[in-house]
Amino acid sequence: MDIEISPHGHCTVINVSGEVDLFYSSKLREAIINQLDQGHNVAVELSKVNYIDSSGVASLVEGFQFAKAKNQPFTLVAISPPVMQVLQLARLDQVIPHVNAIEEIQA
Amino acid sequence: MNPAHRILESKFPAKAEALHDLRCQLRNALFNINLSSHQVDPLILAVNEACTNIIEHGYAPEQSGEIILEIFFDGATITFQITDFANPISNTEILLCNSDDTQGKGLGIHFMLEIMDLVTFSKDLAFHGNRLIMKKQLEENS
Repeated sequence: MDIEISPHGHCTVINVSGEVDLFYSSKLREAIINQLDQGHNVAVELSKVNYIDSSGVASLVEGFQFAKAKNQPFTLVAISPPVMQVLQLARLDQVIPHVNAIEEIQA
Repeated sequence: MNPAHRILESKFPAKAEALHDLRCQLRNALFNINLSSHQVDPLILAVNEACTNIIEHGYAPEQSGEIILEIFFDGATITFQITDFANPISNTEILLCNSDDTQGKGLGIHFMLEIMDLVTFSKDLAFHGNRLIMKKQLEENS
């Protein structure tokens, strides 16, 4: 798994690629919480994630709950088909806000 | 129905860094019996979750151990047998893990139960280990 963080307008984009499993999910969680803790609006770009398991989903859920508690925007962007399948299996696809492209966040 | 034959036996350390290679072995074994990606992907997720649970909740953090994955196929049903030698865990404890869903934890068991047709846990006093068996019946025309 690789993580790249970059600003985009009023939000910070966390661009994730590769596989998010137990070995890597804590790094994703840290990246998300760290950005939210700094007061940034966070978008997690997932188009290049080819595998995610429950620990990866838990990192996304934790970010979503952290942001919700602080009334900060938290959005998933360009969810890849493998990730969407797992989110649907977890019945979270209608819970965590998501858009098809980063431009939609600022629209 | 044909007699079940073993299509994979893999021993690997109960470490998170071993999960990637496990998934690769699993994918190859399931493609070798002509399953499609559509069929293979959820099965990989379920087995990964079972092994993740052993790594996270079975072996203690300072305890090194091994996981054995065996897969059997009889032409209609795939049986995944996962053995570990951590401290015995009861069905009740496993179900309790599943109830902690406040931050997405417990999802692993949910995935296993959603994907597989049968999930059973047992302790085997003969070899002092835990054994998880998951079965998936292949649908005709899939």
